[in-house]
Amino acid sequence: MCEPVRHWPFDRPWQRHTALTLRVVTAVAGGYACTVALSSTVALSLVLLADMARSDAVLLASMLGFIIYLALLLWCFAEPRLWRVGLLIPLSMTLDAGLQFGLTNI
Amino acid sequence: MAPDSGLRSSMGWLHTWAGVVLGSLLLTVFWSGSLVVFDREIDRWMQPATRLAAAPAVISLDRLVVPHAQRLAGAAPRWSITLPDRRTPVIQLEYQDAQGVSTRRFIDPYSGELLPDEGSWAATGFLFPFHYSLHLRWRDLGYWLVGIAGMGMLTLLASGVVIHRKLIREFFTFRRHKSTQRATLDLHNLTGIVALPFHFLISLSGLIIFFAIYFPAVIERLYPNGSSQFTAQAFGSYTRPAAGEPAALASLDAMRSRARNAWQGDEPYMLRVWYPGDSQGYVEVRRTFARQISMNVDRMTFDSSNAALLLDHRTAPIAGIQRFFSGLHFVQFEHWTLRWLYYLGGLCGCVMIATGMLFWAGVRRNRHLHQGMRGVNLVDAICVCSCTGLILATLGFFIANRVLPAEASWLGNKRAALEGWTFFLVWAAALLHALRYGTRAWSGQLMAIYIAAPMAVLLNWLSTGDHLLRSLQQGLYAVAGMDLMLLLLALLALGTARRLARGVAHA
Repeated sequence: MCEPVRHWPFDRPWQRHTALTLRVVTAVAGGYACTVALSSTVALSLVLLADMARSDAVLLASMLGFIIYLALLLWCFAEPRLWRVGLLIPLSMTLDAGLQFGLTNI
Repeated sequence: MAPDSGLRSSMGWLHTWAGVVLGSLLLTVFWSGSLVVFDREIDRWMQPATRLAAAPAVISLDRLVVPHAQRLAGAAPRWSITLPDRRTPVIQLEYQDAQGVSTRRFIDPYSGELLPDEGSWAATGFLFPFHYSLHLRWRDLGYWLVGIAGMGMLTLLASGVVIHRKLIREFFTFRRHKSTQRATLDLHNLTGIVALPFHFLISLSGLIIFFAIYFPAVIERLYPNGSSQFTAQAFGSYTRPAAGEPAALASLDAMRSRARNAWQGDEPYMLRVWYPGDSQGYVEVRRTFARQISMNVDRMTFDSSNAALLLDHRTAPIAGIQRFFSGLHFVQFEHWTLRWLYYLGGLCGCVMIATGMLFWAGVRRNRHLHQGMRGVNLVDAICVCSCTGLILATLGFFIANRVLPAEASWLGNKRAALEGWTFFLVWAAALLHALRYGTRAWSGQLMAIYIAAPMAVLLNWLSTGDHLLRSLQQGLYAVAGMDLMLLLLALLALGTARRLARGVAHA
């Protein structure tokens, strides 16, 4: 291989396995949580900003949800730095909190 | 091959492991999905009493169906009538019986005679729900597994495109006579590329159908008072409680003709009577989608006693998009060429998934055995079980349908349930056989298919008298097609078994 090989941040086998498990769990569960938070945000924005009917907004946002989830899944495995993948969790929690605030105050 | 060493290799890692973990689940969904494309044709084969000539153009429901419905389902909370069409020559009556079990009976559209209950769920009742729920009803587990398979398929297709950059060149490469391993990979790439858009859309549309199951939180967020309000707004479902006072049912035929006029001549395909015999009952009339891809949710709801129009719902634009994707997946429109293409696309997917799994095992078998790792044996057994085992289970289901006596009952299961159990038991037996014999199980199970498939054809002849020539002569193309496919399957199994034997002899 002539291209520079990026090394694992942790080299021991158990560290590699832990990193991998964390990545898979974050991708599948964190990706799903983030998708739900993002889709709900999209749906609410469509209602508030685009004056769309609630039912239509839910349908559109849910359908987009599958594409959002796919993109997040792929990104979780394509992103070399694990800590960035981990950002999904605080991101979805922030979105959720914002949404809760938006729903109760608007 | 790890997720932190460049895009191509991380996608390669994802493709490999997602494929191995989800392969047999995906194969199950793709195989059952391919069969279900012809579900109503398989129904004719499995329910011989419904092998009738095409239904007449004009049918009076008031005269032919309502008396049966009132006798059979008078006490049920609702019953529904599905009208015959080009693929189904009978009127279908569905209701919950006294024990709360949903029941389906067929009515001859010429004589109005109730056809005998043949004790079979057939393809529409067993294979179709198996395709999307795996018959695992507990907490919607089956739906979620199929959903995971669907998302997995999208991920596999996207990562597959990244790792197979030379799509065009690989499409024209099939080194059939090179090593089995080489041919397996070429076949994987060929079937993957030729039907790539189909595979992507069929997986995406399958997910979109069940958006409410997979993303309940989105609905909950915007409808904190419950999802029934959402269903009413998005899909126009009408509801009101029963009054408890009796009232006679108004003419269903009159409601149909009112709906037909409102829909520019489009026929209703289904009518559902809610709270039959109650003064607050209502009748839901649904518009056909035989001539369009979108499975529209246009429906008119009438008062069941005075026939007053309660609600006239038309599909809203975005709901229409969701229904378009659903229609793209369900193939309920009338188009034989497209139906066959769906079937071939689905089988292409089966070959792609199976060859992918075989390639994985083939690459690792010798190395892993050398290192004393046992996992590859398990993957081998799972491969056998999810390819030939699944086909054998399906054949077992068909054969049980032809040999079980009408009043068969075992451990509290009636005949229809026993057919389903045969499917799962044969499948389990195939797994045990594969675990016992490893890769040698391939030829054994292929030969079993070679024997079982023509046996199903023979049993159909013996039990109904409809042999291939007769069903062709009488225009029973559904039955003839099913017989021909079974015979073709037997030939394919024999050919594969012989090729495998040659390969082993050469090695």
